[in-house]
Amino acid sequence: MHDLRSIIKKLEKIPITRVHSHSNRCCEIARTYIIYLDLSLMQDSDPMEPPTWLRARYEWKPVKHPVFWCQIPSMEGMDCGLFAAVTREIYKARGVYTLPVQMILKYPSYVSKHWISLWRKSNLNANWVVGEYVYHEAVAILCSEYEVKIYDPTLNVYVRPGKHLDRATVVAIKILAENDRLCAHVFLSWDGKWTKLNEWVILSEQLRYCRDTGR
Amino acid sequence: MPLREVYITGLNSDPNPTSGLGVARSLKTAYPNLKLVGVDYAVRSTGLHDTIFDDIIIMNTWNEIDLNTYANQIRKWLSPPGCYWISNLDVEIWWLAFSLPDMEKILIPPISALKETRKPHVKAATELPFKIPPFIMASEPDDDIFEFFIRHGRNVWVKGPYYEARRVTNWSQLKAEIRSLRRTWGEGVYIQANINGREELIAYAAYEGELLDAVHVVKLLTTPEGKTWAGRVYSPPREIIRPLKHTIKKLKWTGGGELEFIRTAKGELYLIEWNPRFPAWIYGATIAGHNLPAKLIEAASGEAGLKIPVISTDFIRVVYEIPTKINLDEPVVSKLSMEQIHISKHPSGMPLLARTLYKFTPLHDLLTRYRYMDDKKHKQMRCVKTMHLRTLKRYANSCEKTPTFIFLEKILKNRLMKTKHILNNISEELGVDISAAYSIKTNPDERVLKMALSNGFLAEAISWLEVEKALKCGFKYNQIILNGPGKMWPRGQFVNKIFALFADSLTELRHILNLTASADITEVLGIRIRAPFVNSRFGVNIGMYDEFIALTKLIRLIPMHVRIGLHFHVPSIIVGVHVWTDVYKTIVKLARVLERACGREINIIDIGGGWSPKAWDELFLPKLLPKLVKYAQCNLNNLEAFLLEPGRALVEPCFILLTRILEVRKRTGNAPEVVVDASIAEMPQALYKPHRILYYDTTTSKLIPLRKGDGIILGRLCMEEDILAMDVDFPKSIKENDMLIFLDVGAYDMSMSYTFGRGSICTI
Repeated sequence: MHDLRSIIKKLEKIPITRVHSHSNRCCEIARTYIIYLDLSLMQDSDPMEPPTWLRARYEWKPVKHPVFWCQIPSMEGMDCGLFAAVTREIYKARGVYTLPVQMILKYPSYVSKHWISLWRKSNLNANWVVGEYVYHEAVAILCSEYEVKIYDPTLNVYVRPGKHLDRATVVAIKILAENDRLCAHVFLSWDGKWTKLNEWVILSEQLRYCRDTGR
Repeated sequence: MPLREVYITGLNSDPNPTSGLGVARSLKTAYPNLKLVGVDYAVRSTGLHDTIFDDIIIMNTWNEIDLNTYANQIRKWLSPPGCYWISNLDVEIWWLAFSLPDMEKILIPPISALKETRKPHVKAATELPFKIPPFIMASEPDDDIFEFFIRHGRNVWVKGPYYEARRVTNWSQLKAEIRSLRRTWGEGVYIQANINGREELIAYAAYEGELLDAVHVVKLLTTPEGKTWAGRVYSPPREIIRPLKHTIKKLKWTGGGELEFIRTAKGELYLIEWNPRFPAWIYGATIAGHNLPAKLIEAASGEAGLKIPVISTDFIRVVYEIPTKINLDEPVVSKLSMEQIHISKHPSGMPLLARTLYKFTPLHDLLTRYRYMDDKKHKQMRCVKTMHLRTLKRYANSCEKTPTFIFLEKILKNRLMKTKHILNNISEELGVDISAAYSIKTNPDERVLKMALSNGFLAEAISWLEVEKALKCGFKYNQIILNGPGKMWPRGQFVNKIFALFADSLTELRHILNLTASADITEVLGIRIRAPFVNSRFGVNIGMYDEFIALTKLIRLIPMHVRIGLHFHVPSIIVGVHVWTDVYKTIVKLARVLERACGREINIIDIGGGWSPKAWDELFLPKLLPKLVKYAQCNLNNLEAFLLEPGRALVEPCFILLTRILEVRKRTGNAPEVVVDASIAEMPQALYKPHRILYYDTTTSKLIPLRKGDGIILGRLCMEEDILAMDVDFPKSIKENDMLIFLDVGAYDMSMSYTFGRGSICTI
């Protein structure tokens, strides 16, 4: 068993994922392509509505970072960080305010072993997995001044406090407000749960459905 | 070795369930203290929420599983004494048998047994009293699949290599289902004839080749997908159980198994599936006193379970709600509704594993053994005889204007002569005049009509315009049969007596009888009959007693010198050979009743057309026709003549359509799309049937038949449905200005072609 604090310390070193730009027309065109693809697909929808098409178009798979905009249109898959980063950019283009979300999920360790193997097979570092703890990214959508909904574009679901996310328990969450107007706030309401900004909030440490048998 | 825990996979329990929950309930009945670990691959696998499981393992979806890691994990989990694994997922069983063949605690059949029981051609069934329903692999050429489809009455099943069967009744649906199942499962999709009958099942447990117990179940209720919802449990019949015991021994079977078969009205047994696991209704057998999973665990562990008495021989399923053990993800409301990532249809992710396994070798070879099994046939240019290839090359070489229909005169001549020759022989042998009337509507090309006439054929017209066309081509009035619902249109005037006239309704028969009162207009006056229970817009429905009686009254009014005929026309190409033959026999029997009821003899039977060229050549003329004539002779007192009205069967292969390639669209990661200068306006049947296609390379003058692949041939029209062929493989050399030659366009493609997209409209 790992100590959660030390896990957080280890996993919080992972920087929030961003899409990079070559500061060139290649990336400008690709970014515009993705943004307008979203606008064309979502037409009359509520701008808050998640860009679900993203998950239909891209698989979840290992990705080598940094990723530039000009790579995205021809990519087959994205990892959770890239899904979240592109989703934030899409919301930004729609005029919806979002914040990056980092999470630590707890899965049975028999699950995370496979991700380590798959990442290694792609010659990538699976530093986002520590035993049964897994680093994950999502997007907080600002619904009102103090209120957010957290959307997970990888699983295409809203993350709810106290509910499982896929098979995982969300053990810790951090909503990041970086150098912007929200820095003045200390707390945001996430589905009725007041959550401190820029700090890890511990939610639960139990995987209730699964007996700990050392698997 | 004390029994400690059993891992059970495949826990989904929706209306299309896997058997894990039934296995768990059976084991808990016999071993109340046994620890059961449920294993599945998505939270949506509903049965894992049942409290019967002491622990659950929800693995990653199969594309997120590293198979080597998983194999090692399973090995570790089963390493303590008394631990066993019962898999209830077919594809998982294949993977386990392949990856962990030495693990005796995984209670599944060896890979050799899986090979022998793999569908569709279940080799192991040869020693059992089962027939295998006719099937064809989806990798076979489309024209062969189409022939299979029509011979089986357009009522077939498209089946995945492991799971899923979808009933189809039209060609485009069949093609779409093949594509869909290939996308889901990879290769190994096949098409199987539908067998009418009662669905029955045998389930068994075996350990190291010894049959431990078996039950026979008759399905009492089924879901729309055919899954068992209620059943009655019997002891298996001796004629099945004896050879099954022997076969199980030979296969060294371990684990559960299920035979799904159909018992026909004739008592024949057709094996549909041999599943390498317990069925989902297995707890139904347990309450009938046959706890097969417990017998398996007992044999493996040596620890006897509790015996329970027979509670009921009948079982039924119910649906009820239980609390979830883990929250399911709430669907996001979105304009673009997309399926949830862990798709509910296959919660255990078997398609993903099937597609993953497909990439393996040597398992890959095993799974793809049917792919292009007829490569040799392709190499032999199976679709066109060499003599015709030379002609086709010549036409392609000299062709300037495309699209163009080309008449293959020699082929038609041969077909007409051969048909006439066979008819004469049967005629002589059976002492009945057998005549064929060429169906003008199929292709009214004058060259065809003239050739039919010169080869001794009559002409069958469905309008007065067609009568005039026949006369223009040299037919005499007494060589013409007039048929169909609008035969007098637009200016029917009986100048001379025609050979035969068939009324399509009682009203029309009354009208014709009025005409015959004042003029001698036909040698044969007949009635088109609609057989009982046949859905058709044509003919007199003598399944209705009122119509039958009215018909007998009208037949009595037919002048005595006029011979009486009965016509039925249900195209075999639509209903299939078996149904067609049944309908024919019904009509002949009813003709006999008509004879008795009205006191007049039926002299002529006219059976219409509607045969494919292949069925005509291979089945109808050599095998079926003599039997049909004999049957009519046996039932009718004074059968004088037997009439056929072939069209498609004769002329379909006798025309080709030469088209030029306008554009080759190369697509990244996909096979090309090719646009040609023809369209569904020239080839309207492209929507309903496949055509054999040849590629003509204008640079090398080589003619190559197109094999199956992923390419698409698009027509020149800006219409979404203008797709002339899908699933074709283009040679690498394909380029603009080369030609594609569509064969088999001589029937309704030509006669129903229209002028769309040419800047003109049909002038009426």
